[in-house]
Amino acid sequence: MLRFLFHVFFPRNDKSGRAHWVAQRVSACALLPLYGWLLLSALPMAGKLHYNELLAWMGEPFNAVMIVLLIYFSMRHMALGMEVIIDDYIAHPTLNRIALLVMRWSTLLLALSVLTASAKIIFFPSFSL
Amino acid sequence: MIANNDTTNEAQARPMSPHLQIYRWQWTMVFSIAHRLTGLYISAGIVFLSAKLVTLAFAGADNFARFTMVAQHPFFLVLNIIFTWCLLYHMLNGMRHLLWDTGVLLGLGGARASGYLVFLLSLIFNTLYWI
Repeated sequence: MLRFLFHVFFPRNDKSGRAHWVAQRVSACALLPLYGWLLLSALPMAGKLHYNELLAWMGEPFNAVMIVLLIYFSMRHMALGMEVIIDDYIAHPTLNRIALLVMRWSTLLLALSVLTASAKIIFFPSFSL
Repeated sequence: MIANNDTTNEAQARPMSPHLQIYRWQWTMVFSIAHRLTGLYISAGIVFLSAKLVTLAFAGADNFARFTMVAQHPFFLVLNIIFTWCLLYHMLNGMRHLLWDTGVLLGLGGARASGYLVFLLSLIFNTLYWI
């Protein structure tokens, strides 16, 4: 699982760019229904809820799975898109590598922190620090 | 790592692709650039949503209430309206890209018409979403 997560964010140096192209389209197709759900169902409903109700809403299996998938594919799609932007606008080889490194590590960190938060809400709703 | 295109092109005596500033501005390129800019804006929005989720999980009821109170400020409402527009535009234009991948609408007329359609639809959907 960890290996898989790592691989997703740090793909092997693929000179052809085929893996990148496919991954961008796969994540795009996955995100279309997920964001449809977010805009039409989740935000109008969960936007009005207060703390406890929101925790209960997040605890429902369907909502939890949708949120986790949404975060996962968003981070993936985001990292892929920013990679293209960095490659296009930062031509200097060293700066390009630094920018890619910072971008990938921060997206991975963001994904992990949000997944941790979701796991805490889903599995340990009553536990407080 | 990427190769420096300028030097490789020079070394291999290849023609260079013209830079962005050379082109006369056209709506099709505005739509294309907007796809990237909306993508960046959505990324920023996701960072904000992530912060909200982490606050919900770990910061307790009081701090979460404080967070939502700040987020209800009119300034954030404006940012929210821009966020949903960016999302709608990026989704619709993304569908246009997926259609292009299947080989349709690639001509000048098709690309232009679908671009205008996507832009109009994103504005209409966003208005409908907020009223």
